[in-house]
Amino acid sequence: MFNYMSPLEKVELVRSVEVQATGHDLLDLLYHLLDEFLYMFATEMLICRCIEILSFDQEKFSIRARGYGETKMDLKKHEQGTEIKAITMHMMKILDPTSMLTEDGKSERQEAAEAEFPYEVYVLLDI
Amino acid sequence: MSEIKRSFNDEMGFLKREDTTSYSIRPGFVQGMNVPGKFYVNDQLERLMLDELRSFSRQSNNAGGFLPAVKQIGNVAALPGIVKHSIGLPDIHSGYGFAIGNVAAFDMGLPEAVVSPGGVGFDINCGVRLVRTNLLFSDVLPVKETLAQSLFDHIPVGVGSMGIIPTKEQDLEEALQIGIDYSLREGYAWPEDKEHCEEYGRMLNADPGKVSSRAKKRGLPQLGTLGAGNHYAEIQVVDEIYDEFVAKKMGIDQKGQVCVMIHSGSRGLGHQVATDALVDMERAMTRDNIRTNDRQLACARIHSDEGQHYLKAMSAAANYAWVNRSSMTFLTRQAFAKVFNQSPEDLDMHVIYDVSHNIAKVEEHQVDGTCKQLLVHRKGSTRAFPPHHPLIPVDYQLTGQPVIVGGTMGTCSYVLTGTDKGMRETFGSTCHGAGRALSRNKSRNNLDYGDVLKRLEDSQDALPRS
Repeated sequence: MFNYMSPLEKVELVRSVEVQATGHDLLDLLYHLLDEFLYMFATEMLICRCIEILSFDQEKFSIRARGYGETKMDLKKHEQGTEIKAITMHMMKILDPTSMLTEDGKSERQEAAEAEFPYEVYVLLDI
Repeated sequence: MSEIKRSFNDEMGFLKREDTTSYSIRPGFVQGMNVPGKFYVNDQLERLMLDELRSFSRQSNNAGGFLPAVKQIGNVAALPGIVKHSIGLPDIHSGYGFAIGNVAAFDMGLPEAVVSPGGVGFDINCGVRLVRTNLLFSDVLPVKETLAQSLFDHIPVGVGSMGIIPTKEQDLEEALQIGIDYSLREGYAWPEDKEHCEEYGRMLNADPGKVSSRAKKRGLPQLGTLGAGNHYAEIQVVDEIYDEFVAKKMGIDQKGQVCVMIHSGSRGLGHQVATDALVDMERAMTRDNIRTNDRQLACARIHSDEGQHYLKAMSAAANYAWVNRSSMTFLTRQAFAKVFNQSPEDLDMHVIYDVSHNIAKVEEHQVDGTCKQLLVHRKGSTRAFPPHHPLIPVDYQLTGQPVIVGGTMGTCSYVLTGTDKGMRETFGSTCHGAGRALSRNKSRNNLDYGDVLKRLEDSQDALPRS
């Protein structure tokens, strides 16, 4: 997500910020997690290059994460990419090695998982 | 609500071409329509609308993405309290719940009438302002690059940019409360600017207390920024004058005259206000037994707490957008003054008019011979009031309200005036321009970045850097 806003190769790991999110299901939780990071960007110009998950409760749907990167996007150093206006829940998909979760419920994965990335998510962002 | 899938031909049974520029949509096209739909298209636009419907009727299931615009017009017609018809203006295209370019008016006298944030849009009070100058193209041509650069240096634009006019939390509160009056007080706007602004630059029922702190926190650093996407500040040259009397009243007296058009809205603040309201209203809908055809049409009774809360927050967000456009007008004036070494007053950089195209307004309209108070939702649609309407400025009483229709980068923009016919047929509304002939997705895939740049180069526009 952050890579759309500015190429991440130029972002150093200087600061970190912790966010937390809750949701009423896994999709909702993902939405709120991304929204928290987007909010961090809107208020503090935070660009995260990598994220660390501190705690993740899959029963109660809550998560705590730490993002590492730079705050205050520096326009001389960081290229201006596309602004992300919002996260949407439209057509959201969460894939684990065997199944796919969407708004309509859990189902079998249609394509086999890639060995390197068994977990994938698809999110539509409003630009 | 699941729809029974019809064939394209059966769907067409509900659509009827009324005349060369409009179609009607018969109730029954979607479930529960209270009024018919009506949309305005010529042959070219008709093709787009119907192609979209045809693809939709061929899908085996809803593959996601928005419903076709015609279906959205129908779903809006099914909302409680809607009057006359659900309207689609020429640049209509699919959006969240309501299509963009979909106008709907609700009778405030009916207790069941609703207000819906999807009918305003996420970018509350996204709008366009046109500023005139005394300069001609021949004055600007030799310093074209310098001028473009000056605008870039003065106006913060693009992702990661921050407002350069210093603003504290208390300033934001006041901006939300009093809109352009804040800019005036701080010295960023001219008194005449207020005269030439819809709502005189401030909606009186605004309540900053109804704007969440999350929205305010997003809004504070962005005050005075242009935003990205389809927002712009564009130097324009008058290409053609079709009515000299009207143009002169607006301060446009010759071809080749240079103007500046600013297209921007309420940034992250408006977006958050809309999101907050949708969450709020979805909860209230079960309580108040409101059912709609589309979850994205979340709404609340106008007179409910949620409805009133949203309208007051929406007005505050609208005020924010006017402060934003005023800030950018100020910065534009400075940019020009610097390059031409004359004051903005000497350059006569007056605001011709400022229109909103994402907003809901309480207005009086004639419905079946009676004067009614309606809540008019305009999303991707511009108000276009006729001559002698009490809400338009004294200067434009004879001409009608100026209607600014911005083009996309590289195409023309238009300035029109409101008419009596428009008042009767569409509650005094028209299109907003910068619409899409290609869906966002299609244009990303089909328009080559290099081609777009080359075409701009060929037409002698100064190239933007970002």
